Amino acid sequence: MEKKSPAYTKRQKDLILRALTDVEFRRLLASDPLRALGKSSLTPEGRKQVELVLATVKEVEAKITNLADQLLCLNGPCGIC
Amino acid sequence: MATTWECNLACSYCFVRGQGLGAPGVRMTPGLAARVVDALDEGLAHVESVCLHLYGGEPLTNLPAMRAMVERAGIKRPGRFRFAITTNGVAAGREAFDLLEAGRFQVVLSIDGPAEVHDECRRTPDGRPTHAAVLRFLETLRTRTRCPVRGSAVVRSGWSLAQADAYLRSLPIDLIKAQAVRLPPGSPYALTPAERLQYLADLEEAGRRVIADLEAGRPPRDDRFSSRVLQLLRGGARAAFCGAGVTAFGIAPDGTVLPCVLVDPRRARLGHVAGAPGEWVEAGLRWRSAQRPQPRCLSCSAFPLCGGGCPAVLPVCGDDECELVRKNCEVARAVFERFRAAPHALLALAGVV
Ligand code: SF4
Repeated sequence: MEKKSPAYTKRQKDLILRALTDVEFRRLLASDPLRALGKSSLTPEGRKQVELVLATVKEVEAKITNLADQLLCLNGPCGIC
Repeated sequence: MATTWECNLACSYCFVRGQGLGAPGVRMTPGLAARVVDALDEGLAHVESVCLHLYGGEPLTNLPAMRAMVERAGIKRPGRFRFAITTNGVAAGREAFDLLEAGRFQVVLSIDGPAEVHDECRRTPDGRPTHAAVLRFLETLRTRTRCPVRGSAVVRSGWSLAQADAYLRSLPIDLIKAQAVRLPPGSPYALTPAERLQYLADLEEAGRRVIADLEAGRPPRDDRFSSRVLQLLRGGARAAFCGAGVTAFGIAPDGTVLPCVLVDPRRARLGHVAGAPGEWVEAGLRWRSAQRPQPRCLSCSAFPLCGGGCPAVLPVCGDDECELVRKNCEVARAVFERFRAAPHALLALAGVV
């Protein structure tokens, strides 16, 4: 089976959407998560969540860029392979 | 990458044979295969992970090269290399399954439909049918490995997208892909005008099924629209059809590096894996920046989502390919519009559920 993906909370999905669609917010979330989230501190769990959000956004970006990597390879350009 | 252009089948609609890709008889040696891993590791030091996708020809007919790659990748940073393979599933013995499991390959398995459909085209060079062998391969793969499997079917004259899709959904596989055979119009197996119209209607139906999956919170098994829908969600136009030459490279059995394994090496040779990796990386960037959209792309409504078409397929299929791409983009827009007000659901296309 495919690797099990983590379960995402509504808040994480909000963050993923915002980081995906707002490049400035994404940069801030990576460089200064406290400021990006308007918080004074983050628990280790919160930091992990931010990392997961940023990693997920990267994966989504890769999926977008790799459209034809998929067409060419995984999906086969010729419809044969 | 292709570790060999040779194949143990002689499918009647084969694009690779038809294009005359590569020199037959050249098989990648284990030493060269290990060098490929090193070269990608060095040349693509700026990326987090590299997926080696074995293609061909039939990659399972060159197990020594496959083994060398899996072993070499095993001494690199964990997660640095991932593997995928496109196979006809007809040449696999115990060693092949062991390697597929060791590399945790993502397997793209070619299977067109039930025996009478599959065996009409997919036969050995001496004319024997292969459907039963493919089903045995799938069963063994599912019981002996944890490899995710994508079933891949060719839609052709007399075998519609809806039929191929339904057949693939009946199999124990994770993802499905059914696409029209890519052949010049008028070739045997190419869709007739009426069948092309039906194909476009079936694409719309595929889009409706994606919408139903997303409404149910499930990632769709047919992910053909996913990257374009996600692009619409993110915003922005596509700079190029694919990452060829920049995030994707093709490697021929003799170690020649190309922007894509299906691009004619006489048109676009970037270098060789034995050379300095920086050279083919630079050459790839030059190749990419020299690519210009065709004049017709500039006025095409699909351009922002298409990026100008596949450099390997367009020379073969031309306008026919564009018609399919435009419909694909139109359906992707319809899926996006359906969830514009509730975009969380679209994240399932990226596995976020
Ligand atoms: S569909 Fe064809 S004409 Fe339109 S942008 Fe893509 S390649 Fe160009």
